[in-house]
Amino acid sequence: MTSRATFGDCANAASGQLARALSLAESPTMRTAYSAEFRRELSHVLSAMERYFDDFTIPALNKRRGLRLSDSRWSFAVRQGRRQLHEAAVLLKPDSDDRFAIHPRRPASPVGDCLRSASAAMAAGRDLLHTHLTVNDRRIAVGRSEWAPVITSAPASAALLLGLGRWARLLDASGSHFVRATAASQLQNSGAPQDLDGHQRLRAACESLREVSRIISSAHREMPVATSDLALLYAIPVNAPPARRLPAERDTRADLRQGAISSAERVRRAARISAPDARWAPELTAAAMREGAASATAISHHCAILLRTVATRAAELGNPARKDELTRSAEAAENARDSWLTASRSWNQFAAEGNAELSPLAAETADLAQWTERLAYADGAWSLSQGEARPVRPPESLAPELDDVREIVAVTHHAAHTLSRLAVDSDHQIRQAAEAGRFYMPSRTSSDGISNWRPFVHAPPAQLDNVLGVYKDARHASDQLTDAIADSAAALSSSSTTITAARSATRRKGPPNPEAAPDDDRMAPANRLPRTGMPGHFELILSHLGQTDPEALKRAAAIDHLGEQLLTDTTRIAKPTDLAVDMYDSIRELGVAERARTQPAPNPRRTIGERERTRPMEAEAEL
Amino acid sequence: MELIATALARLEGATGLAEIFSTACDAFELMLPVIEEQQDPAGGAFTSFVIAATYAANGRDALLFAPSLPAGAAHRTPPATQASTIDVAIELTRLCRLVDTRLTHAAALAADQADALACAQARRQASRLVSLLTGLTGP
Repeated sequence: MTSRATFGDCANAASGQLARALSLAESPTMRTAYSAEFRRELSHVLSAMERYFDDFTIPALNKRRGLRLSDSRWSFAVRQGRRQLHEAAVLLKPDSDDRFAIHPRRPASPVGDCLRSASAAMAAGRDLLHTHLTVNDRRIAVGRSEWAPVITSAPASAALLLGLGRWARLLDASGSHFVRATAASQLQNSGAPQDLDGHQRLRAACESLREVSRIISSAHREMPVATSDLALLYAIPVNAPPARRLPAERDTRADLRQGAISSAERVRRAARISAPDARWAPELTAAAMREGAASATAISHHCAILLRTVATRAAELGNPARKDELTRSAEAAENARDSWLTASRSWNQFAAEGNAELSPLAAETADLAQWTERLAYADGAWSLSQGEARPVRPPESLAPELDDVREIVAVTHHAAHTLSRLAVDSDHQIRQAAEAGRFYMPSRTSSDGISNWRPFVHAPPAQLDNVLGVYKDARHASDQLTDAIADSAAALSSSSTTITAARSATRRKGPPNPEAAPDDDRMAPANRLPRTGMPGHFELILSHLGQTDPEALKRAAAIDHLGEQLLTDTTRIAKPTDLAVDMYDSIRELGVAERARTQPAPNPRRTIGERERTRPMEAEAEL
Repeated sequence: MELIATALARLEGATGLAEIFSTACDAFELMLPVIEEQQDPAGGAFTSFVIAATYAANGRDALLFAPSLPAGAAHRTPPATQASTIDVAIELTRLCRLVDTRLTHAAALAADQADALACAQARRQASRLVSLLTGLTGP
């Protein structure tokens, strides 16, 4: 889909090198001559794998960073796998290069070269995942992109463990060849064993690797990792936004599609970045919100046109079932358009100081409207002098083949997903900016009928509540559009199915869990992440008390999940940075049970107008 | 269309900074319902008029923060125009050009920096509207 490196590129490279190392290890010459080198390079590979395990959070060990796995089977796999891998690494430590060596030895053998390349690929893969995360001064991992919740989700974590298990199996197989070869050589020579210590350590390390593979395989058998979750993990790109570009005359259809998808990603990124600064950011004005909603109206309008066009084309290509599906998606796009138009018009009654043209989010959203317009319409130079109806791109021109239908569906899927995120982040921005008193209404159009020497008044809370209601409708319509297109994307095996997988992964607490996470995939700002998959209060207490019964831990997790759901529903009504909610978050984070029980819950019936204008505590999320 | 003609006349006849601000602000305010009436999803100019409404509202907002804007009632009434989309676009373009011209004059009169800034920002929005609408009407 894009030219950016993905985690799958690194993981596949590592797996390929390990597989090649295994085939080389079958050579008798290789085994006898390079046993020491094999151990040395294996130690480097184990170091790289250990760092992956360090990223997992284990409830029983009460770590507060990295990835979390709420299912006890996978938690056990992390705990025991980490221990076994560490034992193997310790066994091979005498063989490793000095970590501070200025000129580390290059491998002399092909098998050593393969292991060195594998460890480099593993390290690159981990670094790639970490481009989406950062660690704050309290050693808590914080997301830096929309992929962060996916990376730290239980399904993606389990998929990563599965990959580690496969690597362990390949390494065990290679190492076992060296172990057997050395043993056979000693039997033949029947003299003093050469490098007996190294041989024994390698054998023990291979046993540990075998155990790692077995533990992870066992977890996978009992709680299987879905293929879609593995595909999602492998699809995670490096956190480098695509360059900003506007459509050019010479762009081909493929260029326009890719441009639209890249632009959609830029919009989501801009929305995410701007969300935390809504209180004070000068570029966040009623004008910027107005322009953003207007562009969203245009985007959904263009998506409706694109979907109707490909619906017609699907029927022409002999796929009538897709036509009905895509037509329904087009209708959903029209509903979304109407909702966003209402949102855009709702800002006409407000005013705000500041310059909308400073808003990166408004600019990026306008760009996406341009990209989708170029795809939807046949003639970029159309004017009203040619008639009131603007010709859309003919179906056979927009999508000559079924592959093109698939790609257009992917474009609309990305655009719809972007509209959903835009609605969520706009809601947050409006609340924040409203609390800071940044919205005004022109008194010339004020409905109170009172003559006022000021040309504007502070926007009444009731009016802002109306706007929030309108955005809620826009979000709902955009979500429905995304879901409608998701069905077509899945049926066509479109590249955008990762969107559906990502939304599903961040809702689930573990590999196939019928009890879905709260229906709130609100895209968190960079300093607040969704809490799906996080071990809760009761689960932690049971783990600390030494409870290992999976059923008991499951029951505790269910109780914590219901509590989180109640809290989420309540904070939807209260402001996200409500002081009481922040205190509750902090108390949970510190794991102080008694104080958590005595803290008052946030007022569930407060609206913007009823809130106290208090300065909230800085919100920090943990993974 | 009569409303646009009235706004044109008021703007042309405005003298002094306060009156120019007032009539220009009213012109932007009046554009909104005219533009909204043209926001027909079935029409080819739908998205252009959606965007145009934002520019008109932005222009009004810019003038609202001008210290020299006098208090007064808004002149906003819903239109019931029978004119074609292209005619509406042409008339709106005329109005925006006049707003731009009068605000240029007002900027020369403005002693307050805030008034000058309001002029510049409102002119920018009028200019964006002219660009959008002339692209819509074609050569």
